[in-house]
Amino acid sequence: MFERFTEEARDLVVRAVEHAIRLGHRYVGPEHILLAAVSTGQPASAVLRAHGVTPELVEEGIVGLGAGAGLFGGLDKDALATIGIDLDAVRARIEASFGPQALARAAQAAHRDPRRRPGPRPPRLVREWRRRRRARRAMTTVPAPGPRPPEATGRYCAPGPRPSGHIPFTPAAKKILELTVREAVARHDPQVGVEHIALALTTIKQGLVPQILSAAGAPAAALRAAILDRYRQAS
Amino acid sequence: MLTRMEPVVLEIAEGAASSDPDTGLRAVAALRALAERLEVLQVQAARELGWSWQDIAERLGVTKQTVHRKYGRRLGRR
Repeated sequence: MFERFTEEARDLVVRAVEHAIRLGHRYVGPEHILLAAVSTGQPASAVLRAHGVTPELVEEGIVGLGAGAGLFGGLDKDALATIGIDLDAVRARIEASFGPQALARAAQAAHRDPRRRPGPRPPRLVREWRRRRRARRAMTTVPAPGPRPPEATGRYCAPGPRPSGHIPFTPAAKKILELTVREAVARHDPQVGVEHIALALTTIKQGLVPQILSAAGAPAAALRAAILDRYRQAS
Repeated sequence: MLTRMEPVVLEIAEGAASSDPDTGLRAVAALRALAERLEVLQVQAARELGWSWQDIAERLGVTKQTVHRKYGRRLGRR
């Protein structure tokens, strides 16, 4: 999928993963891609920043909106309202008594797959196999040099150990990458660049990204037009 | 005070009065989901304050094994 991505676009995707790790998230969402997209030296990033979508603001959006939004995300607000529960009021109270970090961690735990509950203890032979496999892996895998957290916008750093191992892209983030390729195809661009990622980010309607963009006072449609305009001038 | 309460009371009345299973069941599901999320948050906070599984379980009205099985791994030190 990434073979047609420009060097900068690939670098952006790598950065998105690094941002997720730095923020202590065990997933890469569209918001992490946005954070990486506003931090590059490419014209598309400059356009986003000129519209008020700065790395600081995006990061605040992820940590702030994300904390409570993560824990309360996906709940049926209207259904709760029918029995007299004001979800916003509940959220406001909870956010007032718990810090954003506690909320973020609870959100992670809440969304962690409850099916991965420890089952009955496996038979001894199976445990022995697993032990050997772990030992083998420990001997053969060279520890990776460890991703350097991006320093430019690294104001917030999650406490505790960094998430390690595989950090999966959320379905929404995968959708962004898919839309990115489509943007390039639609514009008959031979390569997939940062601008296509930025354009794809302006098209999604759900999740944190639209919230962050509207918090920045930058309607997605205006951003899209500005990015297209910038590249029309260039070419 | 009464005037401020009115909309809420009205909504409760609506939800209760609504015998439409669609509305009622949705509300129950949403309430359960909300309770689950709050439970995660509170259990996590209690654990961080050093509460034992036993103490947490007592407040939740379940056995300590239940709480531990549900949260031991999710909240456990990674």
